[in-house]
Amino acid sequence: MSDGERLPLVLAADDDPLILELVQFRLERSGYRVITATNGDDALRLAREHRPDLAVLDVMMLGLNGYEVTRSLRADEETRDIPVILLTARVQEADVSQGFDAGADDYLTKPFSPQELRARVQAILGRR
Amino acid sequence: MPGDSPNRSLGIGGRMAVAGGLVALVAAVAFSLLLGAIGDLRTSASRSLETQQLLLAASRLETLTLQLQSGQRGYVLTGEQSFLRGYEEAARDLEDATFALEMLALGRRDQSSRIRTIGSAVRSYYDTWSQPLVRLADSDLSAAQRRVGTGEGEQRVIRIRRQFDELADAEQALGATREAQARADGREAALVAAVSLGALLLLLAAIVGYFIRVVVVPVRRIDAAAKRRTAGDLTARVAPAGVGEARRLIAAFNEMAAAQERSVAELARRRAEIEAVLDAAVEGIGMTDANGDLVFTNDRMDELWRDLGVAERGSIWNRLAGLAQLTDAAESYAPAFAEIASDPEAVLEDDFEVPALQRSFRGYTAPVHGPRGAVIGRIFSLRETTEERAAERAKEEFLATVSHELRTPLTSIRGYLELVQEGEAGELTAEQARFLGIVDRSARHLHGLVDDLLVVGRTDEGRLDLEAGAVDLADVVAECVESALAAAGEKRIALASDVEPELLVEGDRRRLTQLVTNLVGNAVKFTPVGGKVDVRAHARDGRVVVEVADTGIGIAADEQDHLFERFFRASSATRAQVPGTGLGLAISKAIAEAHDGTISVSSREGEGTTFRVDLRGKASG
Repeated sequence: MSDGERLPLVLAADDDPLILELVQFRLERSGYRVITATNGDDALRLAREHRPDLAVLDVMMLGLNGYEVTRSLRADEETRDIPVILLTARVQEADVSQGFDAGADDYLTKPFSPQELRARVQAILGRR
Repeated sequence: MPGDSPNRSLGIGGRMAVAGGLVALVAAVAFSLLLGAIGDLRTSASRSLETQQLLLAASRLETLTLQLQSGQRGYVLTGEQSFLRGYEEAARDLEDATFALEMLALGRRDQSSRIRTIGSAVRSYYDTWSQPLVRLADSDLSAAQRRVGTGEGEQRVIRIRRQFDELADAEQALGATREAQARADGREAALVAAVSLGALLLLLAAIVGYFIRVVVVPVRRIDAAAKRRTAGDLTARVAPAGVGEARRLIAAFNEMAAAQERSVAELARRRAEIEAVLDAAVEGIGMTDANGDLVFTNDRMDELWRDLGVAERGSIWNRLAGLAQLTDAAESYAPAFAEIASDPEAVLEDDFEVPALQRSFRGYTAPVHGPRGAVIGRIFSLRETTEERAAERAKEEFLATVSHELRTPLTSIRGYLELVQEGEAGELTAEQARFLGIVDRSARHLHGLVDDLLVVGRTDEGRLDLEAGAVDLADVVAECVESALAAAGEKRIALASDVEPELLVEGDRRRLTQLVTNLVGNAVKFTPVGGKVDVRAHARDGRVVVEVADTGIGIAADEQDHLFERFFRASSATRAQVPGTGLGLAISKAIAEAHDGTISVSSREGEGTTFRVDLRGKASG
């Protein structure tokens, strides 16, 4: 096993490539391996293929949205334990509770600080 | 036609006087005629008596004459003194009887010559025949007997008696004429009496008929017209009739009727106008009387009630209950209905939605006061707000969309900026770090505005969502003052705080922080260099009060009412070129109200401003 394979794997999904790159850059710099998807369907496929240690999912994506991807992950025996952090541009409490209802572990509202994201990721992966 | 046109000035009283005078006149004429007739009758009667007296007197004189003759003849033929008694009696009375007859003839021109002739014949007979014969017999009976034998005395008596007969015949003829005259006079008197009485009765009947026509008829007509008016026929009029006061009464009645009809028509027109205006209103309007019975609804209300299916429910209470059942929370209206029913002065307003129809409404009710201030009923209005709600939702959605859309680029800006500032893109020169700091502050500002935009879109309906919990406002204020210190320092503003410990309220810490930050930030922003900002927070009577006082530019008195409206900017702020969106205070107010609190301002332009937030305290522990 190489070094890389020992590093935690994070799946990042966002339909905005700039934000996706921002997440990827921040997490890779912080010592995570990152695989990316630009829509919900790809995110779900990659999650099933690679079994990431954590998924950072944008809520508003084409195809399956963040809630739906989360619900699908939770519905599948193989992926149900993957922690999910939702990124949302919506800040209403209804949106947040919908995220938790779908099974998300945490959420961040846009605009978010990359360092804040790193801290949340670390908090979840560190407690495992 | 008496009465119609002539002598309008003569009133009923005058006419009655005239009629009375006429009756008196006719009665007087009749009476005098009657008196005349009776007088004639009496004259006739007295003439008849005269005749009888005359005949009697003539008869007595004739008898005396005969007695005289037979006495003297007896004496002369027999020589016996006994015959002289009758003679002497007759001679003694003869003059008296003659005189009596002549007296009766005094007033009688028609018989006076006959009576005078008789009188002188009788006297002459006595003087020239009887007396000389008796004296002769006293002295020479046979000579006297011879003279008697001549028959001269007989002849004279026969002549005298013939004159008496003529007198009697003439007098009887006269008497018959007079009797006939008297009978005629009696008939005439009776006729005059009957005619006079008839004329009087006719006159009275005519007068009664006249006054019936000119007084009673008009009064009856007015009475009939008044009854028709009472029964509701306002067009009832009285045709002109009668005279004087009666005629004027009719005219006055007709004028009054016309005036009343005009005013009734005017009232009806006004009422129709008002109803038309109400019917044209966009709101449904209904009114109940003091008993709660519906007395008026405009067309729109009828329409809305039909649409909502409560039109058939009768009383206003049933309709309200019907409306409540159309909402999602029928039972929550019970207290409001109880209040309306029990408190005549209650004013209530409610926005509700009818999900089945996807329509929204605003209901309103308030007392209606009469001219003397008493409650005479209640107005209910119903306005459809579906379109306003839709527009509000659209606006809210738009603001949310804008806010969301801005967040994506903001995420990139702030995220990459953070990476650069952290040196992930290489070491920064001092200049680059300073410039990026400026970019960072601007990005944070932009971030704040985007947040405000989202909040402000939701303040309209008071649907600001709160994460409720116990919040210590002392902490919040201290934190806000702390973070404003830097900005205050830059303007050499003395920022002081006086905060009681443990100021617990029930609320959303993030929102309350936003509220206090807004106020403190504003105070610093609008206070010139070298000024002063005091932040005070304390508990009072179960309330928690936060005051932020500055020595800033102040707000004009006439603008203070608008200060908490969205996008409103005080002219002093615009003049001083202090940047801002006009959203901060609107959001602050929304936050205060969402916490069941109030926010108020007192300010004097050029001297400073104090904002005061009053929130309900939460019992500690």
